[in-house]
Amino acid sequence: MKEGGRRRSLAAWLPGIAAVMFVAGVAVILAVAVGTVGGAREAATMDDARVAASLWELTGGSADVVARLRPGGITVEAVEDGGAGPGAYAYETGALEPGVWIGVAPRQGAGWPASATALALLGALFMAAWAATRLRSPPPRRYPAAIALVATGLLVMVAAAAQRWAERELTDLSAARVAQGIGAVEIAIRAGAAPDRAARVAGLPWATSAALERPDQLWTMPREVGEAIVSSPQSGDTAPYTVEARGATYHGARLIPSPPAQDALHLVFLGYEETASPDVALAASAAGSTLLVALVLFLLPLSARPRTLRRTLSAWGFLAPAATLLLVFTFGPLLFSLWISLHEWHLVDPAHPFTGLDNYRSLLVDGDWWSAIRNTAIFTLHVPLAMAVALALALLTRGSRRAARWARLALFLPGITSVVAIAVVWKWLLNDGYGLVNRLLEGAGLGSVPWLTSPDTALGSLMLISVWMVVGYQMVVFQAGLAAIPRDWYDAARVDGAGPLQRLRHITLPGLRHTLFFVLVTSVIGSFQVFGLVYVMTEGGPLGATDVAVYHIYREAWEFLRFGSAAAMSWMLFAIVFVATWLHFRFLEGRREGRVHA
Amino acid sequence: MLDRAGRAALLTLACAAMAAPFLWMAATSLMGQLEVFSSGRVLPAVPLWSNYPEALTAQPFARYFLNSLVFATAVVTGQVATATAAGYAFARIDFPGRDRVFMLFLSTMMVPVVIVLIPRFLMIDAIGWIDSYQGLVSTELVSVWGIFLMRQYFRTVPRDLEDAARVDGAGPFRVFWSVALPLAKPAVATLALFAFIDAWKNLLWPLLVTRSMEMRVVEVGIAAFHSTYEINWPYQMAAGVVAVLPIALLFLFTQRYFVRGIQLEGIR
Amino acid sequence: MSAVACSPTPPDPDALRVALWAGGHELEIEQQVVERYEALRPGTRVLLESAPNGYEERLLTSIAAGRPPDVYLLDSPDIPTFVDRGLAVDLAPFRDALGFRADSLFPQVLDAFRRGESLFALPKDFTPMVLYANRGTLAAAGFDLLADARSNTGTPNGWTWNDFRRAARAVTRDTDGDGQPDVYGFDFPRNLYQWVPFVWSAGGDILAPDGGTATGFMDGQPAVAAYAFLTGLAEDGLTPGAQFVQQGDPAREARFASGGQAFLLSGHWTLPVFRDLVDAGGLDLAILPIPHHPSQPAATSVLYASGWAVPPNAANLRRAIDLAGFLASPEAQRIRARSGLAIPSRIDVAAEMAAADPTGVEAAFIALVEGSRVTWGAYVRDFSRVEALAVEIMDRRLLNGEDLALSAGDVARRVDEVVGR
Repeated sequence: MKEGGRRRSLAAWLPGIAAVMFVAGVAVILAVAVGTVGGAREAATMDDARVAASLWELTGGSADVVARLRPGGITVEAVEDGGAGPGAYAYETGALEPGVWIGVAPRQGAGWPASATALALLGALFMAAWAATRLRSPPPRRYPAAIALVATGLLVMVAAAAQRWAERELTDLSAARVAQGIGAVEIAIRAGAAPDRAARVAGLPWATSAALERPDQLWTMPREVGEAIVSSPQSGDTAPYTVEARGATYHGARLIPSPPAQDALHLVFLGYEETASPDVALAASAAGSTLLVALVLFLLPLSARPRTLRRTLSAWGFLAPAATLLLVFTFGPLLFSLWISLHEWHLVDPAHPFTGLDNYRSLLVDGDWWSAIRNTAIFTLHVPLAMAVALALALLTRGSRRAARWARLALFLPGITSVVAIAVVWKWLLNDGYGLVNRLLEGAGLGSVPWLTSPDTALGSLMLISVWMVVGYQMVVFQAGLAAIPRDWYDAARVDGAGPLQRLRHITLPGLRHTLFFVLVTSVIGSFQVFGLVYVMTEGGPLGATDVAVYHIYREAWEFLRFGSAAAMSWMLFAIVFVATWLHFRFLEGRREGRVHA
Repeated sequence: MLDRAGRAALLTLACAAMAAPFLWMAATSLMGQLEVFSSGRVLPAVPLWSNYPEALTAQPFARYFLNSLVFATAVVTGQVATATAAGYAFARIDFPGRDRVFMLFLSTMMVPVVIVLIPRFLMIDAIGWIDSYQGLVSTELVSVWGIFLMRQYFRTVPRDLEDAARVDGAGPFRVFWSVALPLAKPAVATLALFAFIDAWKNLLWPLLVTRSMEMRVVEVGIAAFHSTYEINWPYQMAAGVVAVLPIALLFLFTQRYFVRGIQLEGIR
Repeated sequence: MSAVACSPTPPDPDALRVALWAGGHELEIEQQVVERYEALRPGTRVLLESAPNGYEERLLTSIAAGRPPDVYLLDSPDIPTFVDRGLAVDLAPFRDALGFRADSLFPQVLDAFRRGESLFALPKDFTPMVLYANRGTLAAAGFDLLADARSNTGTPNGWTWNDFRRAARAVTRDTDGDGQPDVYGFDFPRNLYQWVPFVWSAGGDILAPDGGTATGFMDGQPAVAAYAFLTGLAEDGLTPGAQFVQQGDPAREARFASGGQAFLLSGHWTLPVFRDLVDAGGLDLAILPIPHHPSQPAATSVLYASGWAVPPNAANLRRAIDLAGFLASPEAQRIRARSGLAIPSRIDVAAEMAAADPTGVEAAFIALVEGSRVTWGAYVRDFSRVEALAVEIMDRRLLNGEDLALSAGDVARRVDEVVGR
């Protein structure tokens, strides 16, 4: 009967947990939206301070003029030392007039998205009511699927409402910033500043009409944006306008300054949507909380089978620390990279135009990429050789005699030495002309080999060096595996008259089965990820002969700064390695065994 | 197979071949900057022992070693804790979706780290942990490689003892902690050793999340001898040789765990 | 664990952060510069965040995260990447406040950081690519090309490719009779940053004047002549085997210093390696211009420069600009000149540095600035991809024996796709 009571309580608590998770998810979504808008407002206030400080300098210290920029919000105050300024956001005017601060009262708080909040309350009530009924009537009924559907729908609706609200707030803020920019330019020009200078006062990026005639000269914004601005209709004198370019919206203003009549002036402001949009964060938090709610609801049907439920819960108890860390630091970033792979994504360019599957499509016909994949596959062939050597060495150095201990250390040295430092030694050893290896070969009358400088041999050389580097690792893992084979099995075999080779075949190899499988799978995966060796030894050359997949990705991302395409490559590589690994599991691992009841 | 002398000869040869580049590196660390590549030189004309103190004071290496030690120790602790628990669950507990969840975990090994660096950095930055030990360590606390290793190892170990404990009424955590884990010492030692080495040799992540000299780790210091315009080979080699010592010591210390067989006979 | 789990030094929100790539001795000197600034601006703290290795990764990541340093060092090949995307504040309006005068700087260096009226970084220092010559090695081969040169710059009239090849051939020989040369004339300049002056010195270029086309230039007749000249040196055995990596042969400096190579193509950054030897009289060093095509009157070499830039979203914009101004000031440049890694961007400080050097090597360097121009990388976006593609031209010749004009044409077409966007 004790069993039954425990079973009931476990099953009964699950709906409560689901309800709490739901509420927590909603809270995160709302917090992300409000936080984004709040952050944008804060940044806008800082920007106000910067513009005000520039104007203050331009107008020779006229606080009046500055205050006109945004009535009531800006004060100028002389402060003795560089302490905190008068407002929440203070701005020092710099080396010219040390000690003068422009204080700007922060913009008002973001408030709350009304419709999303209402939806959230509704959902929380619904989940709470459901949990309460379930707590009262212990025998579980099978409608978690319907609840899951409603809960998921509600979460998505809250996220969408929060997103719409944030978007509107940010657009308003953007427009306000544009209007303020126009005001700033007008003040600056009345104070006698040249249009160029006045434009700069309003903040980067900026351009004047002279530059707009030549989009190539628009140095402070993407060229496409400049072209779009030039081609946009010239309507209105001081009306704010928007330009669509590179998949992002730019808010700007165009005005013709009256005194002194000079060049027309164009200001281009980056709108907030593309710099601070909460899209990704909102989508991630909605997806994350949906996942958690779904996980708990997934457990509900199991509450009919208490043994399975208990086992599942204890398993997830063991998995929780690893799973949480992986979720946050690996799966999250992975999904983000999947998102990136659908865009043209330059690391520091604010605009990330959505390009759908273009990155993948162009990779399919990219010969360099496929040759990198082919090189990686060939490189992986060093794994069996390394494993054979490592196993032999592990068997040779078995035991705990002093000589064996030091031998193991010597064999392990390559794996622990700094790759950066040892790479130079290898380059030196394998040099065509003066390298020791070739001089030894020549001495033996075998002729020299262009180890690293011929497209035919470079990859092979790297494979040999890789064997040298990994056998130490593998040997240690084998040693741990060998240690798990009970010694009396060998004794029994010896009594039965089995020779060394028979013992290897019938005891050692079967006993190492799981270890061999482990080393094979991890080494193949690791070999598909090879990077450091290529990076320091050959840089992918000569003529791309050692250009392996991850090195290719690294260059695409960090040298050419094309993160969208690099992310697409990563996912293609992932797909290939996943299939390879799955095949290993499918054909090499006995799936049934090891399945026991805890 | 081979007799004793043959085995010894073979082993000596293998050790010599494996250690040679390292010994060469050690020899190079005693040369002068221009002597390093002068043709045909294997040993330094006059060993410049002063390279060592000079290299180690050219940057604050004492601080770097402390940082690497803290970093690696924290990573070892975290990875052993997360991997033994998760590996045990995958090897011993039958729960719905087990193999699929395991493949999902394993799949994270297959994506190049270069692509998750940026999101990780943004997260650590958002928490405000840039340039701190927390920032260095937190992303490295779980190793799927380690989970896989522990899973395989637990599958190797006979199950009888755990069953016996379970019959005696021990809960799942008791069984794991008092029965399974002690039997897994060789694998834990292996995992700890490799976690330490991985943390010690990690270059890209510490480079990105640390800013000040006070937070740099040894590997970043070694790479720093190799700057855009200037490469000080002997210093780099000297620092490389010194950086190997802690791992070598750890190796000598831990190897008795994974080499000595488990005494199963006594308890059976 | 919790005792050590917190940051050792509490973050100092008021400190100004400077990103740069100095290492070793160079970093010590930059620290002295910063200490001087801290003395001038009491209460200010400046943190040097140096990444000699992986500098670009770190800088871009911190900018993408919205926490850029207050001042960063901008290398000439990165200028378009940062300036086109608005990641550098226009410093022109602050020129007067910072006491910055354009005419006190080497004009080509200044121009690299200018766009129209705007100035996006305050030049720090720079170097031209030059030819280091080991006079001892040349003399030992009985080659007297430089015999009557009085100064270090002294080159005979018409330092053409033919003269250079003759010198390299005279020097290259087998001294120990093992059938392999032990002394070489040169080492193969495999990378674009090394060989582009040879194209210029043949009267050609790699890109059209507007930077938007490669076809007709990178595969033009002067460029192909330069490839043929350089690969010819390698094919005639006047250079050791090419290494096919950016760093080139790690042994080249040592070989040059020990008399195993007569000419070395490099920038000023290699000089500190030889400095002790030169001062002790162990190396008779001459700094020569790049040789030019016989049809041309003189050579044009390439300049690489760096400058101090301020990101627009720096936390303390005005203080950052003030600091950048100091880092580029004559005082800072004087302190920095002690490292001897590069030529100060200010003409007067460079002249002082030359005057203080009795060997005349510095003066020889500065004399070569006149006929040099800044790398294309300072003006063309995605130039790193152009460089990555361009190494193929001569690699394909040396490795596969392909025709230079054909492979150059092929590469030029692919470069067009990169620069012609």
